[in-house]
Amino acid sequence: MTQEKVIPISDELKAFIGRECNRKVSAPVSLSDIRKWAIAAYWPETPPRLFWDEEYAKKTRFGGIVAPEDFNPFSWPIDRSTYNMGDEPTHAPTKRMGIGLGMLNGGGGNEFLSRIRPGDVITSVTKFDDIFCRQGSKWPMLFFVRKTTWTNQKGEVIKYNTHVAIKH
Amino acid sequence: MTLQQEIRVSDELKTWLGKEAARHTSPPVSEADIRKCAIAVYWPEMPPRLYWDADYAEKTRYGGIVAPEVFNPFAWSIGIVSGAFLPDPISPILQRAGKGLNWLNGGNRDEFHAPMRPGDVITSVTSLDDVHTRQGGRFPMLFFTKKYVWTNHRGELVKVSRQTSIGVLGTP
Repeated sequence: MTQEKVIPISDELKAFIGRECNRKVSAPVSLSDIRKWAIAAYWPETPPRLFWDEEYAKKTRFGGIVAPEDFNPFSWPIDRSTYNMGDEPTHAPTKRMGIGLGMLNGGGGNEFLSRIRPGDVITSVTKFDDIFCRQGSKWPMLFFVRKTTWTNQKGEVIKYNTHVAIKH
Repeated sequence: MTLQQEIRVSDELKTWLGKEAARHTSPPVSEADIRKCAIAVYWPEMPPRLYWDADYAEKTRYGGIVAPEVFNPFAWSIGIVSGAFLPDPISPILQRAGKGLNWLNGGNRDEFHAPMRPGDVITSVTSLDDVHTRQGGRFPMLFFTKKYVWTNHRGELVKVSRQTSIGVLGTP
């Protein structure tokens, strides 16, 4: 049976828009982090020299080794609590709207700006970019749009990531 | 029934006894390599701070971060498929010599010396340490031991590892 009523966003949920929900700082990126990532990404082929051969990488337009764009400097942390999405504070307001916590992955996208290099320390900051409700064919759906910005220790933006979580 | 049949050790194999058969050099060990190894070894517990906290490690008798003894600096090297089995010219000879034998893992023996530290570049030298035959309770057996000697870039001995394989003439 189709549930027709559209549930509006409550003020307490609206208050989360623009708010930071997760911040983490990576360990310094090492040459071997990049090499291992590239080996995995290109397995079973030998990865491009740009990712492991310093002499070769120096002569490219990058001027040295850079990480593949999909490289994750936050993998293998000592403190695993950083894996937390940071959305727990929204759980109670979501429930109060009569919407469950079951989550669908609504997809997302990446915009790459600078490259990660050996020695970089990456800071990741995630904010709620938007929260809105849309009527689905059977149930109302609550969309949480989260935007994550990665910057290096020089303040250069590495990438923007947008991720949509759907609660229903 | 006991099978009494001689296994002949080929001269080709004997010529490698005690000789350097292969030499491999690792990429520089990074703090991240050590941290990841320690996380894997101690999972799901948090690994000891000696392996990832530079400030803590500085105050210990090691004077800095060191790697767990089981750390393998040859893992994830370009051009080496498995760091656990560094390629050498003895293995193909052994494969030929061991045709018709069933192989058992005869175990490993490791001696640990200087600890591995961030920045270390490790060189491994492979040699044939021993090859001999022995009559088992039921079958003749060929014992074959490879030795791996690891040294760091300062020339300090890091580890001596011996791997024994046992070829059995017959089905155990």
